[in-house]
Amino acid sequence: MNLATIASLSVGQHLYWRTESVAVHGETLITSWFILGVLGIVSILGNGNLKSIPEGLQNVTEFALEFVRDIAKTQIGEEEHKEWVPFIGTIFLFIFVSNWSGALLPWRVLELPNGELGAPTNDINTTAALALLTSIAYFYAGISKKGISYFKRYVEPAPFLLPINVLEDFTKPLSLCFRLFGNILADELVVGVLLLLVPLLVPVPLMLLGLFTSAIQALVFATLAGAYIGESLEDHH
Amino acid sequence: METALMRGSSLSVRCVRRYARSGRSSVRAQAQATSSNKAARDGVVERVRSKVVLASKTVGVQLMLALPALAEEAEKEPGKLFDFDLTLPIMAAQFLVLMVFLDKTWFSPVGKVLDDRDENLRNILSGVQDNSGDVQKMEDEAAKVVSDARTAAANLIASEKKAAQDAGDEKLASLKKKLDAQYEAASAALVKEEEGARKALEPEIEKLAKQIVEKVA
Repeated sequence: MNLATIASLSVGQHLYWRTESVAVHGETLITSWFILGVLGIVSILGNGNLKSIPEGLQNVTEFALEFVRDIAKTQIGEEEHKEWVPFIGTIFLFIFVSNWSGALLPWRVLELPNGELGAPTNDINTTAALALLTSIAYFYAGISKKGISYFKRYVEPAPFLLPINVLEDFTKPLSLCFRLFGNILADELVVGVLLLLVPLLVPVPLMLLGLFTSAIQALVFATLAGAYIGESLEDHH
Repeated sequence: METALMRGSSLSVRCVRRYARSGRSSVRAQAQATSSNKAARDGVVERVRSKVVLASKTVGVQLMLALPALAEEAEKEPGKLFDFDLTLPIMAAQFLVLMVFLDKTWFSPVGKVLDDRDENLRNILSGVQDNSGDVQKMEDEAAKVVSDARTAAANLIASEKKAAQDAGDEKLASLKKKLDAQYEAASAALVKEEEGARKALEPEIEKLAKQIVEKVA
């Protein structure tokens, strides 16, 4: 195999799986299945035999859960955060493992007919799906708690802010979606370009920065999802 | 915070667009260049390849092979960054499945373990915090046990003493009775003997008295 294929750069190339009318991005789905598999295996191995004094992988799963609970508790509040832990936790774990798999695993060694394997989060479909689910989640949270009076918040603190409040419902998923997509794609592009130019040592600091960014983006997405849900749950006076 | 984040996100969007545009334009430029003189390009590629082989043999830097890779890149269809299709709902469905699965196998059971441990520790801690009462109670109990033991011992000593006294007294009394009886018997025997002796001596005394009287007379 030619080593250069690791260093090649493709922007916006996808491995299309087509039926007559629809197409999907094969490379995104393949890596997302890998992520799902990894999370499932970790969950089954770590939580298969739970003990009150944790051993081995249970330490990791407990730490992850405590971390996620902490995010949910600070964003949503002590009383109502429990039922949102699965949503926020899954967002965090999925994005975190996706980003790090993109940054750590040499996906590009596996050659595809078109496009290249990478983090599922460098496809805008993934980030848009997560952002839309977050929107649905905070609408669901607010309406299930307050009923129709949830929509009162659009005219608060003053009725003339209505357009801005409505606009917010669009900017929230947009910003979530593009923040994650842009950061991950930009990171992979920067590393890819540097690998093309200087294949040795020079990209390493940027790869480390990429690891850092990836973790931060997972945290930011989970925190903002929690903040939006907490915002629609909080009582207005 | 919100505005800062939004600004950050719009910045990143702009960056992404710029990347996309620059990437696309360079790709297009190369595509044009390659289509115009393909034969010349092949020659260039050949020459570069031979040079690169030489370089990799001498220096060992393989990755200059990236140049032909870029040329291959130019023949692909132009990339689409914002290409929404059925991948989106599939990803959403996968996410929901993952959420349910992780909730069943991770968040709920591990959360229960954490909560149980928390409660357990809290119970133990609260038990330790008000153990001054326990200590007082234990001290009282100890004092009571000691005093109980002391009275029991005193009672035991007294009763034993009494029993020993009684037994001694009884023994003494029976011994005395026995001695008394012996004494009685001995003194009775002595009296009897004396009587016997006196009776035995009577005729002798009479005889002596008669003799004395005869002599005197």
